[in-house]
Amino acid sequence: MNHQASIEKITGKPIEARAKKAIPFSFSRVMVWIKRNLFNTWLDSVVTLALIALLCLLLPKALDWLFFSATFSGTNRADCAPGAACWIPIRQYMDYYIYGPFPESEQWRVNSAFAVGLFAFPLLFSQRIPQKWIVAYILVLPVVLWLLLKGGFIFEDISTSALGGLTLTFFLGIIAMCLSLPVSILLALGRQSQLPILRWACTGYIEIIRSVPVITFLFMASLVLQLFLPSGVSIDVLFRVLFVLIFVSAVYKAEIIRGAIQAVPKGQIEASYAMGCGYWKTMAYVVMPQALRNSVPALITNFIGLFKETTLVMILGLLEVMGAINATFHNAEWLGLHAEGPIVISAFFFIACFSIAQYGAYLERRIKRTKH
Amino acid sequence: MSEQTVVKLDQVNKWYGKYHALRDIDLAVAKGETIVICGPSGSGKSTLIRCLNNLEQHDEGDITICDITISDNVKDIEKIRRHTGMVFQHFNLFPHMTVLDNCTFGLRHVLGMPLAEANKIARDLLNKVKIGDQEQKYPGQLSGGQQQRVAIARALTMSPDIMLFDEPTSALDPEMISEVLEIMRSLSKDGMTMICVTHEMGFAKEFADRIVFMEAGSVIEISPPEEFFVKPKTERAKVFLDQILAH
Ligand SMILES: Nc1ncnc2c1ncn2[C@@H]1O[C@H](COP(=O)(O)OP(=O)(O)O)[C@@H](O)[C@H]1O
Ligand SMILES: [Mg+2]
Repeated sequence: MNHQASIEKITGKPIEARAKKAIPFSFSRVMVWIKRNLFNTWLDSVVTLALIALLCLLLPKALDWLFFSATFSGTNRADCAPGAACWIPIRQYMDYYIYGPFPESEQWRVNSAFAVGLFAFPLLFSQRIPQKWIVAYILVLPVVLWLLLKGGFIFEDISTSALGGLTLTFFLGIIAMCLSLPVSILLALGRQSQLPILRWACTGYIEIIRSVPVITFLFMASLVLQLFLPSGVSIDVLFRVLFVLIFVSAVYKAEIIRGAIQAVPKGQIEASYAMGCGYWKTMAYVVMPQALRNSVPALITNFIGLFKETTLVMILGLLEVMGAINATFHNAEWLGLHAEGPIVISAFFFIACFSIAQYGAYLERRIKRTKH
Repeated sequence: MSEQTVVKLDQVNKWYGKYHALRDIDLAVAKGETIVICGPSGSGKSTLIRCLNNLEQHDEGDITICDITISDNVKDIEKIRRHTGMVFQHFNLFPHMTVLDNCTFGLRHVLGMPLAEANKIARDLLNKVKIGDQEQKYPGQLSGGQQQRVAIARALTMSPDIMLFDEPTSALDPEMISEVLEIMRSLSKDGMTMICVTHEMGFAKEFADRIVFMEAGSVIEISPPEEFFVKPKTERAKVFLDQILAH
């Protein structure tokens, strides 16, 4: 056992930059690996060969359609080569996909918003950032995004119809994630409350919301809500959509957090109580920090789901990135290009969600290593 | 209640569902006394000591700690908990806080003390339990004995009038027991009122003023150690002592 490993054994503490011992590459090792993993039994061999055959059949065709015979440059429909993908509209509309109809002179605001949002990664990546900072960031981020993207205070107001594309997806996803977190913590605590009424209310809310498809609530937000409001009063569709996303996704988070709270040992709460600490302070300083830390991987999975669900706001006429891409392909000029739109949308969501998932997996490994 | 009595139990009963966990317990503890509670496993020792700071609620009778009688009043209970410090079998340190933060927790969040002042008090106590050089470590990086010493320091930060110990050495490897007992000894010498559930009969012989022997939820015998170890009043206590001293 080397020195580092023995320290780790003694202290139970990870050594962060653990160097992985590099295994020298050699041809015979590769052959052994192939034999062991791909052709171990005759059934393995059959499956391996069948899959290779399938790949050989499909991959060249796909690559050809996507890249080799595809059209990348040109100006209009006539330039598109038949029988292969045509990426001209994607290049033409890229700005629109990212910024939507956001006024061009104000686009720096969108860029700043992306920068502020992406700051989350280094913040959560680094090891021991004080908890206060993370909490503050999560609470301030929605406000900053709102000011930058929607306006108010010192920024010029942007009308809701000018929000679209990636900007809107990002806006909805992040704000809903950040604001549903506090709601979900309250729901999780409420569901375990000693007060029966509160407990029943929270349980009922959680059970009802999670048994109904989100899209139903979005429909309700667009049509049913109007029935209850006095005539003439209407709420900005952006508020309605955010409201639904926040209060629906909070339910799933509440269940994640409830599980994590229950996993905090009872002795922790008793130790805090025994010093004269009350319920709320015990929750805030002892239980929640441990519970939230342990639920980060599950919350990230939840975020991926929420991020994809933002595409549903299309039914309320909001053109987030998927709506924006679809719209250009429905444009008369590009009519007849069916596959390109969905492929671009898939690629975008895959890149975004896969990165977030990898990040979640990294955090999970880190939490496992720091478990005492 | 005499001026000297800091803990008083009067006909205390407790049930877990149908199970009668504490039966008619009477006990008075004077300021500065060290009481050792012993008895077979499941006899209700933990239940009794946890009722004293209301981690468990008793069903009948009165428990009075430092002139406050336990009731449903949350403020009273929090006051009682500030008068008592508790040390648990499994330490129950907060794993997400450093040793120092564990020890300033109560000062800062219960008493609202400023950080610098809290750190000073915590450091003094960490030095007293001889662990001052580890203040920036996390509990998971310490041995069991070290963790238990931190837990004692953490309880002491609130300057309690009474210390409650629930088998503080039972989860420790044998070589670490003495370092924890040493601290308990010095606390006892300094005149701290202590109620200890423990099977460390050496500690009991030397430092206990009285020994409380429990069985099946009842207090069977309360005697000074000279009497308890030489000629216990009941056959059960004798059997128990034979078993435990045989080890
Ligand atoms: N939360 C509980 N619910 C039900 N029964 C309990 C609970 N806690 C303890 N008991 C029972 O009460 C009895 C006394 O337990 P305890 O006070 O922990 O004993 P000791 O500490 O003396 O070993 C045991 O029989 C135990 O099973
Ligand atoms: Mg016990």
